[in-house]
Amino acid sequence: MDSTTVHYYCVGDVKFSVSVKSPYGLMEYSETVLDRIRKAASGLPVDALPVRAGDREPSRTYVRCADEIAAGSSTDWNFDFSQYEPFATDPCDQVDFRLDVMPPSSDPGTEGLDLVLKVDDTYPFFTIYDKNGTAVFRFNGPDDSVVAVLAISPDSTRARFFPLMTGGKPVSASSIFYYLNMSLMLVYTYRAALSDRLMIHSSVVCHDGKANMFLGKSGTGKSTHSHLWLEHVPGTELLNDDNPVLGFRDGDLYVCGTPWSGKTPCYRNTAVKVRAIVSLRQAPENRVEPLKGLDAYSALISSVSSVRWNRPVMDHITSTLSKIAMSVPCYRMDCLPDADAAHTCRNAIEQ
Amino acid sequence: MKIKKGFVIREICGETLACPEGASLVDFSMMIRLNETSAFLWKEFEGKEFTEETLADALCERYTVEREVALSDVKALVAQLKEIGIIE
Repeated sequence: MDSTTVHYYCVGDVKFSVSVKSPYGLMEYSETVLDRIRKAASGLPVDALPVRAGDREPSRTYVRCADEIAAGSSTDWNFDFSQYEPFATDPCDQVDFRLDVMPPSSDPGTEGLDLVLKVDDTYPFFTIYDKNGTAVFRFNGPDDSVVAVLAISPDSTRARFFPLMTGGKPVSASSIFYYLNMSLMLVYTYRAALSDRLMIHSSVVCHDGKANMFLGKSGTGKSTHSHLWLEHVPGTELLNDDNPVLGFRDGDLYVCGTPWSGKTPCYRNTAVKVRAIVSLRQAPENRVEPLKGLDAYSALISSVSSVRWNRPVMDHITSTLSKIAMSVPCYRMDCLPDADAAHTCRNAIEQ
Repeated sequence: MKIKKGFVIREICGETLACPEGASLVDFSMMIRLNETSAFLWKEFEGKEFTEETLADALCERYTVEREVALSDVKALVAQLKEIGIIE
């Protein structure tokens, strides 16, 4: 039976729909799981990281184990979109972009595609191509075969995600979800930039009514620093641990939660004014100094995906970052992974 | 000589920068900060062939400056740009 379900979301003021074609669908959740999702979305403490039965590692979603999934759903053909649940909205006619999840198909190959960039420094590996303005991403699976293709229209308003069959075998939802999630993040990044909303690699805490953002290359300790605040500075909450989105509203800079929070399931549909942006660096001491102008801009741009091959997107990214560098206090912090780091930071940025 | 292709001139934080964004460029981390005269020359000669003489001519047309001063400024600028490898 052919069927398509359409699901609507709003993240950081950017509305999008995901259209899922059979054989795929989205998982439905029991009241227990929905309750946990709602609690987490409102910032209330949730149980320790849920583990899916049979997993070696904690799952990134709220689904604890098979019997919590509504009877009749399965993971073979239904995607676990629980991280998107807090951002679900009513159907609407006007969305900023839509993504169609296509039925499995065979690899169309690279004929007619112009190579743009090979990304092989972080997982997942993928290669970007251009076809007359359409961006085509080919994702590599763990064994280097191409497992999925994403195509984004030139104006970033329409995208299609193609799960690829290998050797004629069916492609389960669970095996392809990782790439679908990455694809949604990519399309969102492009389209949101055009509306001057920037995805940024950052860990964000809220304290005393405003947001403090921590930047730094992967492994620098952004997440560690946020957790030091959570542990040692009373009244601190986590807003997002990996990929929040920034945007101005009435001249003030806000940071919003997203469905993408790295390894920490912190998916909060909320927007908080930014107090300060702190670029972290591992060092044998805790020290904060202000960053101004181009120095602030440089720290910011290294935490944002530079979409150099798409000129309109890049134009928006650079002008929005320039505005951010000039409107919000930015700092560089040398830090240790200790309690003193949180206190030193707090004293420097909160007066 | 020419400026390598792939740079985009951007106004960022009140300054003029040449940002390497084209596929042909290898090092994307370095942005070049341009003062008023170098920004003017870059925009004038972007994508075109030039010599130190033609750059100096353009400066003298636009600004009130002695030719020797213009030429020596131009030589210094070109030397810097050659050093960072963006002149071909």
